[in-house]
Amino acid sequence: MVQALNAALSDAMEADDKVVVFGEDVGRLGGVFRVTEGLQARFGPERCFDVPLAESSIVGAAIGMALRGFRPVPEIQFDGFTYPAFDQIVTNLAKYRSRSGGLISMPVTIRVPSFGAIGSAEHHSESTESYWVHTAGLKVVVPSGPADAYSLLLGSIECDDPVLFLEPKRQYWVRDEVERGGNREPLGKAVVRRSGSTATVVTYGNLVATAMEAASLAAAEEGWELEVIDLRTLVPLDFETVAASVAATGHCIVLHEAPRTLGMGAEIAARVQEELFWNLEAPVLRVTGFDTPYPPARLERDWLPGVDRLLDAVERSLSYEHA
Amino acid sequence: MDVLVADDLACVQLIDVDGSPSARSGLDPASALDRLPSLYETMVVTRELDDELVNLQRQGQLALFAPCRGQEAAQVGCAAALRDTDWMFPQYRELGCFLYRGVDPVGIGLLWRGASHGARGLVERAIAPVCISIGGQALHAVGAAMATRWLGDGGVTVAFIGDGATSEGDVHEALNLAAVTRAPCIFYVQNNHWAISTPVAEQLRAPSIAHKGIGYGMPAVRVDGNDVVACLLVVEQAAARARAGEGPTLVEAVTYRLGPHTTSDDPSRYRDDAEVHSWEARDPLARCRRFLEHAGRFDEAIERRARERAGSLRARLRAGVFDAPDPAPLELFDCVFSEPTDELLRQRAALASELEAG
Amino acid sequence: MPDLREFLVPDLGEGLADVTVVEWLVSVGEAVALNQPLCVVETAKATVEIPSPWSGAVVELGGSPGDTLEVGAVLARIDVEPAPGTSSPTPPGTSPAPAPPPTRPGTPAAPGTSSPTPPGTRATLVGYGPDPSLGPRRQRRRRTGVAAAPAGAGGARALAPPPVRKLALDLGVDLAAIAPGSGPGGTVTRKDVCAAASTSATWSGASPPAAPPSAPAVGGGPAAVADVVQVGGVRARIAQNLATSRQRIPDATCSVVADCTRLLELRATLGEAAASGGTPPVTPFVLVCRLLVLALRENPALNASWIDDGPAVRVHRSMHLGIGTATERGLLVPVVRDAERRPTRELAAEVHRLVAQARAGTLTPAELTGSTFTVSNFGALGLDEGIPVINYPEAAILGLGAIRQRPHVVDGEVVARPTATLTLAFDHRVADGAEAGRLLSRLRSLVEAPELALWEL
Repeated sequence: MVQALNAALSDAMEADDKVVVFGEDVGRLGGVFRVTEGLQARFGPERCFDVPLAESSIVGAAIGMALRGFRPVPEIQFDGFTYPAFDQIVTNLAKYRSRSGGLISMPVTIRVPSFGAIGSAEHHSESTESYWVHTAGLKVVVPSGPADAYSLLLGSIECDDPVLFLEPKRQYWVRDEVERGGNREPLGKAVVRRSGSTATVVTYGNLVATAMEAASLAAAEEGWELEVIDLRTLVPLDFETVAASVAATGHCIVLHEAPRTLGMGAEIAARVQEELFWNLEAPVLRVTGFDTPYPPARLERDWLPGVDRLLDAVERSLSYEHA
Repeated sequence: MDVLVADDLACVQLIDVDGSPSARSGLDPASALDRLPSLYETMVVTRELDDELVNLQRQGQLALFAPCRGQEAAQVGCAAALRDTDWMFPQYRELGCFLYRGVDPVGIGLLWRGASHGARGLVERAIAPVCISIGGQALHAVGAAMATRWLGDGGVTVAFIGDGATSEGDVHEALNLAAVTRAPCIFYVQNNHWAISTPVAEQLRAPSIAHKGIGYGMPAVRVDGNDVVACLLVVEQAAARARAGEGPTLVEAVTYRLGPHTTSDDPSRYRDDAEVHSWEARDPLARCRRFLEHAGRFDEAIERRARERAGSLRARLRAGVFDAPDPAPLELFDCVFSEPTDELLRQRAALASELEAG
Repeated sequence: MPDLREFLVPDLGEGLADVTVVEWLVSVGEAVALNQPLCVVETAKATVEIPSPWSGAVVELGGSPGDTLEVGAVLARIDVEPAPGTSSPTPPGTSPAPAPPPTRPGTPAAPGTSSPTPPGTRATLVGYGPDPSLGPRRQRRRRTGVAAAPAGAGGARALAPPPVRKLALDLGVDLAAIAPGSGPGGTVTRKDVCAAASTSATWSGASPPAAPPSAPAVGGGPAAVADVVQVGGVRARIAQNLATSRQRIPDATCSVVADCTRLLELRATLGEAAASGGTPPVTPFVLVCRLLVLALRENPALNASWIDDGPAVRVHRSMHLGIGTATERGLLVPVVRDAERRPTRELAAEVHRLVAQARAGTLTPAELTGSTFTVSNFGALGLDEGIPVINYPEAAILGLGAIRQRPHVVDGEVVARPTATLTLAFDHRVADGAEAGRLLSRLRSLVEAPELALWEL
């Protein structure tokens, strides 16, 4: 996935000289995850550069660049370090278009290595998506694999609105065939990763892999055919794909590693009950992280939702039809 | 001579690079001589435990470690200038400060193992929890300094920051707030020259980090951070100013990170070996030992004692960290609030039944 | 004694699944010190030295230069208590000076001897790296063998709000079989389910229990240790309603004994009139119902329902009288609508019709729902007294015991009189004992002196 992201950045910079990449350690070092490796050498230090260690300044400066017609693609080094930039993102970046009555676009794509499951240090495994989803004016993209990482990053950079592009670190070293050549994915389309009629599992990012593994096991061990939906973009949310699936299965389980309360699961559950009340065979269930701070590395495997926690929930959902 | 009001921001130095007495300050090292063997011992212990923690990471025992190799004098000298009740607000690399205060290295090891987020063992010794997000602790130090003054306990606080952190907004706000409130706070900047891959020259355009203190209206001083005596005496002066109600001081300890940013970093990608070698020649341990020899205060017993203590602490660290059992996952729910909410208790029970199922 | 330990390939915090051995710095049989470099390994991202975690003797190396080892595979086996002759060069725990230099991630050797970084070396910043075994399978908590429901034909599923799904489940009605329903967009409604339940569901007392959907019956199933009778249809619904009533209504009861002498006299008179008019015979039960309606009109507090959301009390303007009726299929409660507007004659005819049709099973769902107050004539079963269960969500129910000659005190003398016990069970949230008492006392007065009803005409 790292190479796919690198290719997308490179192709975007090649296609549009207004695309600039900057952040902490992205130039000389090529990023702590090497996503920006080689960009400075290829495009020069004017278009890929390091800045002082200050996240608020990274986002604030991106706003100014966008104001003058650039397409900044800044990196915040880790999820937990978006918080020093929170004010700039929420107060300014998200609202510039509406405050200016639509005169000013903010085509800023903030790349953030995100989420947990890599045995990392404190503040390096945060799920920040709910903050952004809750903030009007921000688009939120979470690729789950290399091919999407490439096409969605291109789509995000082309998008005239600010995008929080949350890259699941755990998937960074996953390999897959990626068709290069600038195929960009418009934001707002979920994808059905596996079809099934028993129950719908809605997820994104890291946990798409978990859901797919669970679906294989469920088919083999229980005879359940799970439909796995990868949301890919949380804003805009492709609810149509979710609705079509839940209408067919009558069961919906939302899976994410962010804490439970007011996570994406809460929003999906609310939408499903509003729009699919009569289709539901069971309440919408959430399988999520717990409402605690992200645990120390040694405890994350107990904390993160895994295959079994998901299958337990599927079973609970199905049991409503056979109470 | 009071170095803190010197308008010349040349480095205060008492131990020359070769270990001989230095003329580059008007300070008299005599007051430090009696304590110097003990400071040397702590620096040796710090170096060895630092090495041991790196080894443990390579052996798969730690998630990560941020070594302090090269910064021992800056850390031990500063900690030694304080009272045991003066609160320190560290980043995460201040192993020398922790050890000077008597923190059990096993706790530090378990922190980097990822077994806890690691406040235990620190707060009992007036050390705030490590602050992995950069710069936030500078404001905490100012607030604690204001509180210290209201409490009238004559204490000072020390904010440990690095060259990179001086770019963070929080640090600028902290400097201004401390100056305006005349808080008894010392901003102790270990300028180790590299914020991961960003050299200090690309971090700021001011002639020095100390210049920033002047801009905010506080005395500032540069000190040779590889000279333990200079660090000790300068921080002692800054602390005395603070205790006397004269407000904050910025101390820039000029040192060098000989190792990687963390065990996962690859510094050869961004800096020359020649630069590293030039700083290895200024190794703070060797300089301290030679200075003791110059002063006629060194004997082999000092070295032997230091190595023995280091050896026993290394063994203790290894025994306490190697394959250490993980903490109980359910403890995660116990410290979110003073009393867990009903929802947390439900989630705790859910995880408990999962764990019970095995 | 040999004490063999395995040193597994550590996760170097770079998110790697494997490492390649570049060079061994020790050989089998050689003594190694704690932290002595064992080997150089290369990952896709860095070349690093791995220090030995123990002192001892090398017993086995995990691979030859060029071999790729997965994280978690054996890198080396070390005997930490080797036989004399291979003692380690330095005892563990005492660090020699100079200490073995720590190896550095990404740098192939310690400072001072560093060699150029191999091209393409990389390292991540932090962490153990992705754990390939993260989220190991554990036993799932429940194993109930829930089967997936068969998908509806063409993938279309019955549409129904959750409470209707619950009702269908309770009544054993297959939603898919009655979809589309009569609601908007073809949704199945509560009425659809009730109708399906009353026409199709029967208490299959004689049939064996159906196998659960996930357990196909093989070889006749397990030997029966008791007779299990599946309950469905009307009986299941009654059971649910009774349970709900008991769970949700804090009820209280009170009762009076009424002298029915005058009531029986009146019934005889009216019976003659009915016979000549060709209408059904008037029973004491019908007369009590008529007098009850009168008493309820004067004391409307118990013609009501408790509403949890609010909370509030809904006092019904109309009196739809539920008539508890025993049938072969179980208890049914047909409803006399607008009972307060019906003359006695009409009331008698309606009760007669409803009871007959209830027993014949020809009532419509509308005739079986919507009562506001229910009367149970368990006296007809020969029972003297009883405490009826309120027909949820109503506020009260009247139970009428058998009318028999019993010792009764009249003017200080014990005499034989036809008496009956009238028992009122009521929702204590809706009314206090005083209100219930007023209703019941008024009813007794009317039963003992039915001509008082003339005042209200």
